[in-house]
Amino acid sequence: MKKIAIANHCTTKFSVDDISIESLLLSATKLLFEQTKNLDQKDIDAVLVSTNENKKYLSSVVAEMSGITPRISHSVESLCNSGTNSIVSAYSYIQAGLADVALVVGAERINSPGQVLNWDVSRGEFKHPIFWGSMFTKAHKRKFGTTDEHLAYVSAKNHKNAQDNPTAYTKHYSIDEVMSSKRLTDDLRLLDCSRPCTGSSAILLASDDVVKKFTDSPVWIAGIGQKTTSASFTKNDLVTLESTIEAASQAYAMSKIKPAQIDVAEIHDAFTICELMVLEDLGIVQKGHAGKYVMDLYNTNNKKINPRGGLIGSGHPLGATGVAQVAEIACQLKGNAKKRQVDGAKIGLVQNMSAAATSSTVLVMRT
Amino acid sequence: MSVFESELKKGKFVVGECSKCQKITWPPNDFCSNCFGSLSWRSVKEPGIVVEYSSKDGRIFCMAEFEGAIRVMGTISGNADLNPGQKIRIASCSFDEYPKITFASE
Repeated sequence: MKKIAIANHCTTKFSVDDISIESLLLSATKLLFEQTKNLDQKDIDAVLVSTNENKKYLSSVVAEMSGITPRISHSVESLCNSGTNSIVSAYSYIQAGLADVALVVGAERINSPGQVLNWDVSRGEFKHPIFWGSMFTKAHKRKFGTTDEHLAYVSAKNHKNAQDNPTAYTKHYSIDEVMSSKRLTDDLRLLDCSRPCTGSSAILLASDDVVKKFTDSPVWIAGIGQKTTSASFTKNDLVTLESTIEAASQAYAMSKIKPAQIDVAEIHDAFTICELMVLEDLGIVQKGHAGKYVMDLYNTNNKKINPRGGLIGSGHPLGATGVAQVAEIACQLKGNAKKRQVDGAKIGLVQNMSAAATSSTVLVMRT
Repeated sequence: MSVFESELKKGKFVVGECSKCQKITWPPNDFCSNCFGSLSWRSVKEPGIVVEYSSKDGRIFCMAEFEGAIRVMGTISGNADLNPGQKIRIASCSFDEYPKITFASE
């Protein structure tokens, strides 16, 4: 097996602005070139675009407008985990010997068509994600005694962490402000939810043969796990994210890393309940203990989980989210995260999922 | 429009059962998702059970399960005093862009 690294990364400022998908993709690409030493357009063998936008041939548009003539060029759409799916695809091209250097760029507009899976008739008229989020929340409350206060700590922590993330667009909220925010359903409030936004992020992946040309501090992808259990929400067990458990098991086995060794993680907090369930299903805490764990993180100002603010704190531009999660962990493992830095972080994890965790990707990264 | 959608539009909730392996395919499909066999369509067997529920603006929405294989979301009419496992029936159903299903507790 080749060793494959993240050579560099960048993320643009997330916003609610009306920017074309092409401009978003190209602004992240331009930034990556500006910030990567010795990177020439001719170095790039593959261009992969991650987005849910209904536009055609975007990877080739990005390639042409960036002066790249890659061997491999295509888009990847997989709803909210399009980003990590793109990175796994790029990794696979490099591992297979079809590329040495790959550009992965993800972007989304605030009005993304990827926010609702209309195909899923099992959701009946309840298509919006708030309804599956409410089902998960109610079931977790019922089984483990999770409270609205536990959920509020997730939101307050991630909004607080996002204050030190210059690319996040949201603001600080206290526990009380979260708990008094507008009630959307019996089980979820407005500030329990991540919100769609506009943004982009890019990653440069390279094989160990060439990565030193671009960086002196590569961050290696040590473990990859992916699992799709279904597309329809209602096949889910409501208190367990089966796809995340399976993906994590694969990633831990490949990297020979155990959950207790993870120093820092970006996980898919689409709703506050998701952060609790993911922490449990990654094996970072025991089932039913995540609420207390997150309260402790908040009270001790520990940034180990979602240091950039996660989806709730940073905003959720679907196609960019997985790429931005990986960018954050690469930044942390390089020791470049400034006020967000988790001291001494050497091993990191990204968990990214789609459509109520019917599919998940888990990546383990290390210096 | 699929068989499921057109029957739902007539107020009938039907399920596709494989003529080869006898498994139910859900969500509805043009063929059996287990063995690619042909489906025969029949009415769903009731009662089902409540899996979980919540509410929005005083309107209860829930996930219900029928025949141990079909889970679908809809609203619940009447009393809010629900529990998972409680038996329910389909009180009404229709289709207009998306399925609309109302359950009633037994």
